[in-house]
Amino acid sequence: MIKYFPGSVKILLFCYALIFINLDLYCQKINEDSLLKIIRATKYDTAKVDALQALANYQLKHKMQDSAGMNTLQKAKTIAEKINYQQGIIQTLLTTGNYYRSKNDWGKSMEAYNEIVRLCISNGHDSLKQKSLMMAYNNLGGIYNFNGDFKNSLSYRLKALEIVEKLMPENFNNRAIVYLNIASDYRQLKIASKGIEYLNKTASFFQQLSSRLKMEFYYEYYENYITTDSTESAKKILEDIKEGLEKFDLSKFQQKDYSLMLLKLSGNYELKIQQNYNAALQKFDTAFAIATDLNNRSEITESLFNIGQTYLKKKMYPDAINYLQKAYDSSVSQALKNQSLKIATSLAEAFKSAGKEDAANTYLEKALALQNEIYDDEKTAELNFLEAKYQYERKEKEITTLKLSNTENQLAVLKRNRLLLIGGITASALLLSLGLLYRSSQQKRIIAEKDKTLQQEQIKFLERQQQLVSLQSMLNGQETERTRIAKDLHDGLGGLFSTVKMYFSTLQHEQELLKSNSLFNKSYELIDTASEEVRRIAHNMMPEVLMKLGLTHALQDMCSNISAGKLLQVKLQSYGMEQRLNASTEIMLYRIVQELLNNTIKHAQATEAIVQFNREGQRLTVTVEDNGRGFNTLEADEKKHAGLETIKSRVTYLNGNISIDSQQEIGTTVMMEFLLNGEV
Amino acid sequence: MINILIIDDHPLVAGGIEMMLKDEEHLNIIACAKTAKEALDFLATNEPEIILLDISLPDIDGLQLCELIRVKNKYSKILGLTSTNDASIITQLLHRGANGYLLKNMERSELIEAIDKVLDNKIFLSRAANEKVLEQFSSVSTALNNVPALTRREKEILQLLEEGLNGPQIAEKLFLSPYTIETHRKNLMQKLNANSLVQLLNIARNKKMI
Repeated sequence: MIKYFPGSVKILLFCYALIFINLDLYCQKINEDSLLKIIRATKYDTAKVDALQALANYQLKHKMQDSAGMNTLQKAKTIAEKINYQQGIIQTLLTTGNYYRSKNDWGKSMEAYNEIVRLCISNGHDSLKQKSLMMAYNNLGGIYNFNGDFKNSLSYRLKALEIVEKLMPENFNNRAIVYLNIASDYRQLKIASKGIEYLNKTASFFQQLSSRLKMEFYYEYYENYITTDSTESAKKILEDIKEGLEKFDLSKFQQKDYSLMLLKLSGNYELKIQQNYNAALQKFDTAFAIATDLNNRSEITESLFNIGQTYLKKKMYPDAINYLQKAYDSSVSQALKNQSLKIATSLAEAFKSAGKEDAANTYLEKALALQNEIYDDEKTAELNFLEAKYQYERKEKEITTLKLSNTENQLAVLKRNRLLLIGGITASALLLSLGLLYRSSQQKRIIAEKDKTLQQEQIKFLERQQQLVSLQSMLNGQETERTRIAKDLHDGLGGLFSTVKMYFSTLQHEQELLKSNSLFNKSYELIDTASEEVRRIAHNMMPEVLMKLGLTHALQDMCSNISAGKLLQVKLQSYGMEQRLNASTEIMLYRIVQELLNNTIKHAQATEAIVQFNREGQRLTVTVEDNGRGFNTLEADEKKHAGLETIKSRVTYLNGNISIDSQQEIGTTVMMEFLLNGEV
Repeated sequence: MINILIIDDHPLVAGGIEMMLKDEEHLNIIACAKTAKEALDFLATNEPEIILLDISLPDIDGLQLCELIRVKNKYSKILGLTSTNDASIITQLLHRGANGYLLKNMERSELIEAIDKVLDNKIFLSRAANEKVLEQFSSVSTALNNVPALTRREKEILQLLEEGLNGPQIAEKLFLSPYTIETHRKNLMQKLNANSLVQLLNIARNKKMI
């Protein structure tokens, strides 16, 4: 994938827009000796795990002893697993994930985060687990973002968002980080207005955020405003940054780093928006001084380039060439190919404007060669990431791809077209600058159109994804509520009615005469009916057998209850279902079958039906077939098949596929396929 | 004197049972436990003749508790007590060593009958429960007697496999994706417990499915 950032201000000290969250349970200033003492002194217990974990962190982060650190971490994990110390396991996984992420080993990093997701989803909902889950989602999103896959990044961040908003609304910094990351994804998906919406969500508590986070927010605000052409708002942000530099509590290094950011942003603002070249020069000169002070070579190069660019705009070609050449040499010596390409292109333009065609040609050739190299590098990197992603997805059965494969395919085709187009246009623009014209307006129009379609597709995609998120929480909420009400009915009202009946029964026993009292008999009967009714309602809401004994038993009961009615004989066949699935999956599957059989009873006039479950490993197929009169799937009557929509949304909830095959006078077969998640 | 332990977390229900039994002089309620733990603690030193066991308890599931009690105590007669009459729960309860089953909205006479019956080493099922269990046994036995029922698609695909077509050819013929055919084939192998296509077709022929 070609990452093409026309005129983007990219700072290399901090990786803006890519904030990972770490769980800092342990103090960083740790004495290695005291740790070793703890480790030696304790047997297998949680303290030993914590100490090993802290030591590993220390070795990895501060002493750069990678293999020793990973070794220690492995030990911590083994012991934590042996004594089933969940917090310890999660903590070691988080360190593992973060370590591999810092090494750009995406596969292993995703594996570790994924394991956290699995652990946290399957057992319990304590706050530490929720927090870890949120972090795992956020960091997984970061990996996708870093590799240019903003859609998947966004989908993970939205999951993180759900947790952070629901369970830790008071943790402002964490909430803000997730908002910030989501905003960055939206901006990079070219929907900056959405990005701003998310940034604004911090409005009520912005002042309480950490200084560094505030700065990161300013940066994201600025980029979003520039993308939406809100130059006035962007300018205001520059002032906010300036004020922040004076007021915020920042370390010396951060001071310099963010001053550099401000100078670059405002330099570019002067250069591109205000076209006040002298002001721009002044900013870039200062940026150069700070970068030199920080001894940050890539920033030095960037500043030289910016200065050169400004001279170019001022039509002061010798100065422009002078700075650009320095920048070019510096970027080549650091093997910063993207920078070199940008600078070489600029140099060619400068030479051309100065009338030195030969030199211009030389740099154009260099630029073309660089572009090929970058393309190859990025292809390799992309392949590596895809490989890692593939490995990971095989374990994860990544949900979005399954759910949204259609939309995604369309999107991918469009994206590929656009990339080809961008590639083609970049190349042709280079060639054209050799000759006479700069760009043809025709091509501009095509890009604009493509961009527009792409954007619409992306919006659609995001809307669907959001729908999915809300659908999931709705369905889940519904079932949780039903379970609760059913339990209340059973234990509360049901128990009460039973007790009343017990009293009546005893009363009748004690007062023989009551047996001939019709009023008493009627009351007795009504109490009986009422208690029966409560039981029926509670059963429909949530069958106790489903909770206690699981899906197969519950379905068996359902099928024999229907068969007992004599109109329809339902046969349950289940294979490979010995192990129970997780509770919410079982409820969903139960509801799906219930709904399908309801349809059969109501509409199909069938005499026989089969409900079949086949599970092999993580693959589950569910078939419900009847011999009824069938219906036309194409012109399915909306009212009659409103039920089908509910079924489909439940299938979607479980990331499944559904196919309905109905033939008139032969019957209907509904087949569903699910890939069960790791946590089942 | 027959000693009875009531295990139910609902004090009203326990009170109701106590009241129903107060006129039966040979029956003595020795204790009421609100949780499985309380019950197990009590049973560690006592052996009541009758245990009335609610299957919904706050700590351990009543079905599991029944099994736990049976591990150490073969003497007491256990009568399950619940507000639901799901057939599977009834059968599971009996599997785990209960001697009978009562719905909570029972009548006094039924409770006394149940106690007498289990003391007489018989199984007691409440009348409503009785029907349920029979229903299920009848459907279970039909399932056991018969070979697995094939769905229409499965029959079709089995037939075409018998005719020598392979997955993609069948897919083309039935206007389905090869992946779907593969799914059906896997399901068939699982249903007929076959490890290979040859074995699958052999079993199907033996069972007269094709």
